[in-house]
This record gives sequence, structure tokens and C-alpha cells, in this order.
Amino acid sequence: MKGIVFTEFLEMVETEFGLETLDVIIENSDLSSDGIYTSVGTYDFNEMVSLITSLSGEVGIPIGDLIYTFGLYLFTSLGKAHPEVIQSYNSPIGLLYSIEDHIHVHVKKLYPDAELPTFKILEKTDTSISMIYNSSRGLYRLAHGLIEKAFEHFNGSASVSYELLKADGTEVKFDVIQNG
Amino acid sequence: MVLRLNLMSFKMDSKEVILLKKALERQKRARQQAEKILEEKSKQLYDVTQHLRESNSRLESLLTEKTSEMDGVFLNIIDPYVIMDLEFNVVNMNSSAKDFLGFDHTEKSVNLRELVHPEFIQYTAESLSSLVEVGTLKNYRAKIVLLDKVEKWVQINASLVYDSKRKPIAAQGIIRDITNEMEVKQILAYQKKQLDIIVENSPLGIVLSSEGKIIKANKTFIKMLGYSESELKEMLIKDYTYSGNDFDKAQNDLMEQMDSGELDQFTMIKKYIKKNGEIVSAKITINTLKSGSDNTDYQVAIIEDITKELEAEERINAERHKYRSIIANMNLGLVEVDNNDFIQLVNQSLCTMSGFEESELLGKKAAEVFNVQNKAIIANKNAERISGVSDSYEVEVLDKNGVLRHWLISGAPRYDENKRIIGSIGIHLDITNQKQLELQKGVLLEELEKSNENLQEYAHIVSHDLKSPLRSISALATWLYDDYNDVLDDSGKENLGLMQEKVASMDRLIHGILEYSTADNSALISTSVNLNEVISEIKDSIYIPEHVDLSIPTPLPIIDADRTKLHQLFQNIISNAVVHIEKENGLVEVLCQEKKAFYQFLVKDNGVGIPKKYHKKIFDIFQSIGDNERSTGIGLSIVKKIVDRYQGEVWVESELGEGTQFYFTLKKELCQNPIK
Repeated sequence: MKGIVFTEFLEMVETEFGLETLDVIIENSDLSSDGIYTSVGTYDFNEMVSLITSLSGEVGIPIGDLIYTFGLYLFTSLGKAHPEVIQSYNSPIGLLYSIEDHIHVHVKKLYPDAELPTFKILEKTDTSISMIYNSSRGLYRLAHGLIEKAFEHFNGSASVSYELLKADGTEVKFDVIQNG
Repeated sequence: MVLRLNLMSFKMDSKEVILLKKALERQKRARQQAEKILEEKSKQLYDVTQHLRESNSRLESLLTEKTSEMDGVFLNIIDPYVIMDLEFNVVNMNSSAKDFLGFDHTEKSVNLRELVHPEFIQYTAESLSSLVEVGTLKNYRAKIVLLDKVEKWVQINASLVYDSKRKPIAAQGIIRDITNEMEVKQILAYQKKQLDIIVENSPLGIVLSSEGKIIKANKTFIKMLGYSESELKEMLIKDYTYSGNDFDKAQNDLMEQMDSGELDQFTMIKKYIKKNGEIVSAKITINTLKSGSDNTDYQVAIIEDITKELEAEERINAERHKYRSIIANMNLGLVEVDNNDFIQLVNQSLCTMSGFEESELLGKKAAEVFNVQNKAIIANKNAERISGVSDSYEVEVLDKNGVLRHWLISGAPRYDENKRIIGSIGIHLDITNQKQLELQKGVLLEELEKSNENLQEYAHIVSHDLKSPLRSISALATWLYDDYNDVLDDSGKENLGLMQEKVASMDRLIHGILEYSTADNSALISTSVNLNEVISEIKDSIYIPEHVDLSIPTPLPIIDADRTKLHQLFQNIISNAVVHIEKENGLVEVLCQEKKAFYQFLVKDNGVGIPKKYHKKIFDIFQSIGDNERSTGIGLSIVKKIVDRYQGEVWVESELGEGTQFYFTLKKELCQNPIK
């Protein structure tokens, strides 16, 4: 997993729960990297699982909700890091529609070894989009957060519903309807 | 230092310091990690650059090699390739050019200008100067004459070759043999010309149109509408299409279907308005075709002026209607059968005649449905019909109610438009009534003949039987006169004389009846008769009063006829004439006039004349006028009978006190002896 996800995650933990909580989960997670991450590196996905699990235990918030919250946070961070990518869109639906064909292409330029989820578009209108998330990581709640934040970014909101096509969350159908 | 000062000044507890230290340590190590990654990436980048450099130099040398190969390639290209100096002398050529031009510049120096066909020398010079000016020459097309005198069409694309100082020193060109192409072009042009001739001279109007406007129209169409071609091109087709009739909608539907591509051909009847306002009916076949880069729809229409045909058709329909009503209403039965004798059509009269309904007849075999008594005739006639013979014949047929009818049938073959016999038409006339009359007439004639015979026989018997008692009376009266001459006084003698006279009168009457009854029965025995002799015989044999003269002013003809009958004829008239003259000098003349078809005779006297009211009556039997003892009233009726037998006429003209003219005619045809 790309280092930027780890660095941003730790950034969120520090901001939301404080330095102490951050230190506790790093200490508790028994990480081979010792909790030292750089955004240009690549690290074992299991470390992320350990970190989140630890955080959930520490703060008493369900793992899924934490991942979702991280998704909201991550969108903002990524937007700050690569504003030009988001600027090329004028609607959240357009952005979602182009994840595979545009955004992930940019990601691959910077991180050729990145393991990215796929989004298969089933249907798209001006105000709605439905697609299937597919990733061995099963981080669909992360995607959920990213999607909602994308609407927020464009000063809008959306009702996002999802349906697990596979129980482990590696294949999930999203139905996104823009509000208003 | 600043950080430490801050830490110090905020008096952070030791736990927080430891945490921050740890965090700082993690950040430091993360930075080192990132630096290490960057170093690795730099190394990778360097390796890639090195690799690219090597590739580049390999490519460069490859390029040099290829460039040096180019000349050889040019010489080996498939199309003829020639380099010449600006004076047309061949400098180099490839093998393909050698094959095509038929010479090798290494063996023989050739100036290409000599190959150019005389017609293209001017063009060639211009092309060369253009080449020198512009540097390239595209699609130079000319005819050349090869050394073996074969003519070829070539297309050359050429460019200048410069020396190192950019001075043109030669021209190189690729030659393409377009002889076939040009031939094809010529053939195409020729065919187009032929096509144009066909289109222009077609009796059908031919029009190319697009988007409702005419692009091209042939003479026939222009003539059909009376507009000039330029006028037509300015107008929309609908401007001169006659609208306001039923087929407008149908036409639009068809056009829409064609526009949408569902249909690429249809035929319809439409009407145009001519320039002079007349309406032309036309049968029009429209084909659509897509052509051109913009895929525009074009319509090709073939237009046939059918105004006359439509008029003719209307007339034919009117005629047809007329004949149909004639057929339906005529008093003759009509049957049409096919070659197998199946009834195709009957009219009302035939149904009435035969007693069948139309539905009982149609589709049936005529020979089976009509109960013809003599079936052989029908089969025979049908066979004749198939061989094309028309004729009439009679048949006996039982109608539906079993009543015998006689039909006169006139049959004729029916032909289709290709003159093939497809059956026959029979016109049936019911002649049952005539037939019955004919039969009755036969019976009546027979009866009449019989009764005539009886009558004659009777007349003979009667006259003979009457004559013998008459002779007895005459003899007895004579004896009485002779034996009692002394005893009888004058009155008695006179009575006996009168008696004798009455007996003679009676005798004449009987004789007359006998003659009358045989006058029109006994056969005419023709011989050559000299009428002058006949008249002189009559003159000797009859009583002619002293004061009357019988004369023949001009000789009468000699004719072939029954002498006895003619004698009787003339005698009866003349004897009648001579006794009725009271004038001092009586004159009876016999005259003849030869007419075209008959002889006309005239017996003319200057006697007392016959009152007008008797002119007809005198020829009837027993009609006598006056009180002449010798007149029986039979003579002139015999005259009439004889004249009748010679198909002549007899009439009388008379003026009381002036005289009488008896005219009669004899038909020449019957006065000629067949055994001459």
C-alpha cells in the first residue's frame, strides 16, 4: 500500500485524536516499519489493518466508520497535494465517472506500482451514477468517504447507498444520487 | 533550538516530550527513507538515460545505412524510375524503366524528348519549365512513342535534383503506364456519348433531380412540358406538378418512403401542367441513387406521356360499355366458351332463351348443359372453330323445361391479343317460330297442290259432263226446228233460235272455264314464235266486223315462248277490242316495244272505251261489261293468268268514246329458249 495513505492516516489520527493516541496505536500495532512512513514508499497493507484495528480499540469507534472518516479526510489531503487533478472537473459526477480513465491514470504516473481499486460504471446521468467497486482490500467505506467528500468539495451533497455484492466487501455496488 | 526553547518555555510534561521525541524520530527516519528512495530512483533514471543514448546511436547508424541503400531502392522500385539531365538525356534508370521504355541507357544514349508524341511537344516544354520553376511536377500526362513505334500513355511525377549549391542539375521522375487507364477513359467517354444520344433521343422523358429540383432533363421531357431547360432548372418540380387530386397523398407517401430509404424505386401516374396550361398525364418511374461525397439523394425519373393512352383507354371503356349494354340488351343469345367448351359469359337473352339462370351456366361445359338433340353437329362445329372457321348452323335443343326449340347459331372463334384462339363466341337466334311457320307452309303447299289438282280434275269433268247434255240440247233443238218447221209459227222459230244461241253461249262459257283452269297449270312449251304469224292467224280465225281493220304498223319480234299461250293471249285481247268499236272506220293496232328486261306489247283500238271504274275489275273472272252476247267475262282473266306466268304485268288505259290501250309485258328471261 502506498505510503501516502499511511502518512495521511497518521496525520488524521494525530489531528482528530491527538499525538498520544497516535503513539499508542503505533506502539500497539507491532509494525515491521515501526510506524515510519514516507508518502513515496510502499508498505504492507496489513500494517494499515493493524493500525485501524488498534485505533478502533483505542477510541471505541467501529472500524468501518473510521475508514469512512478517513475517506473524507483523504479526499481533502489528496486535493491539496494534486489540486490540478480536481480542478479539471466541474461536477462531482464527472469526477467519479473519470476515476478509472483519468484520475487513476495520473496516480499510475506518480506511483507505477500502485495497486488501485477498479470502478466499473453501470449507469450515469447528469445527477446520478452507479458503479461497482472492486478491490482485494475491501476498503469500500474509504471509497464511500471519498465520494461524499467529492460532492462536498463541489458545494453539494449526495445520498450514497451501497450494496455488498461479496460479503468481504471486495465487490460493492454504489448508487450515488446528487441532492438538489 | 527554537523548538527546544518552546518546549522549555511551555513546560511540557515529560510524557509529551517523549511523545514528541518519538514522533520526531519517526519523521527523521521517514525522511531518510524517502531520501534513499529518491537515490534509487535517480540511479534508475540514469540507467534509463544511458540505455536511451545507446538506442539513439544505434538508430542513427541504422538511418545512415538506410539512406545509403536508398539509391539502390530507387533502382529497384516497381514503377519505372528515370533520372535525366535538363536536356532530356537519360542519366540513370531502373530496370523497370528499361523494360517499359525498351532501351538501356548504358548501352545506348537516348534523349527522352525524342519519345514524346508530336502532339505533346509543346505541353512537354511547358511542363519542364514549370518543373524547373517550382521544383516538382505532378501528373504530367502525355503520349509517347517507344522505339518500336508502340504508343503509350504515361503519367509522370517528377522532381528536380540539385547539386550541393542548390542548383538544379537533373530531374527524376516516376513513370506510370496509364495506357489502359486512358483507353478505359476513352471507352467511357464514348459510352457516355452513346448514352447521351440514347437519353436525348429517347421517346421517354428522362430527368435527373435532387431535392425537388431538376438537374438534367432530356429533350423529350422538355418538349413534353413546353418549358425551356433553364426554366425547368429554376423551378421546383412541384411548381409544374398538377395537384389537387387523390394521388397527391399517395405520391407524398411514396416520396417519403423513398427519402427514408425504405424504397428505391416506384412507379406512379402523375399529371404535369404544361407551360401553356394543358395537363399531361404521365407514367413515371422513379429510382433513387446516392452519390457524391455528401451522399446526396438523386432521383432518376423515366416519364412516359400517357395522355393519349388514357384518352384512348377512356374511349375504349366507353365503347366497351356500349357493347356490353348492346350485348346485354340485344335480342340474340350470346355465349362465350373457352377452348374446352366451358362457358365464360352469357347474356340475358340467352338465359331467357334457354330457361337457365346465368349462375347455372357459367363455368359449365356448354355441350353438357344445353340439351342439344344433334350433338354431333356441336362437336363438329367446335372443332372447326378451333381451326378458325366461322359459320352458321341450326340446332334443335331442349330448353330447361324440356321444350324443343330451334336455334340458329352463328359461331366465330375468339382470339386473344396475340391472335391465338382462346375459344368461341356463339350468337343464338331462337327460330322456333319461323321453323314452325316453315313447316306449316310446307303442309299448306301440299294441301294447296292437292286441292288445285282436284279442282282441275273437277273442271275437266264438269266441262265434259256439261258439254254433252248441251250438245244434246242443241241437237234436239235443231231436230225440233227441222221436224216442226211447218207447224211452228215465227215466234216459236225465234225462240228455238234463241235457245241455240244460249246453248252456244253456254258452250263458250264452259270452254272458257276449261281454258282458265288450265292456263296456269299446263307446262309452258317454248318454241320460237313469230308473233306476226300469230296475229295473222288470229285475224283469220276470229270474227272481225267489216268496218274494223287489224294491223301491225311495225313488225313484231320473234320470241321464244309457248305458242299456244301467246295465241290465246293476243286473241283474247284482240277479240275483245274488235267487237267494241262503233266508229265507222275501226282500227286495232298491235305494237311492241323492247325494253331492257321485258317486251312491252300494246293493243290499241279506237272503240267505245272502258269506264275507269272497270280498269282493274276487267281482269277478274266473270267480269264482263256491256251486254255483248259473245262476252263470257273469262277472256281477260286468262290474259292476266298468262301474263303472270311470264312474270309480266297487264294494265289498261282508256278514254270513253276515244279508244282503249291494252298494255302487257313479258319478262325476257322467260322468253328465251334454253335449247337454242
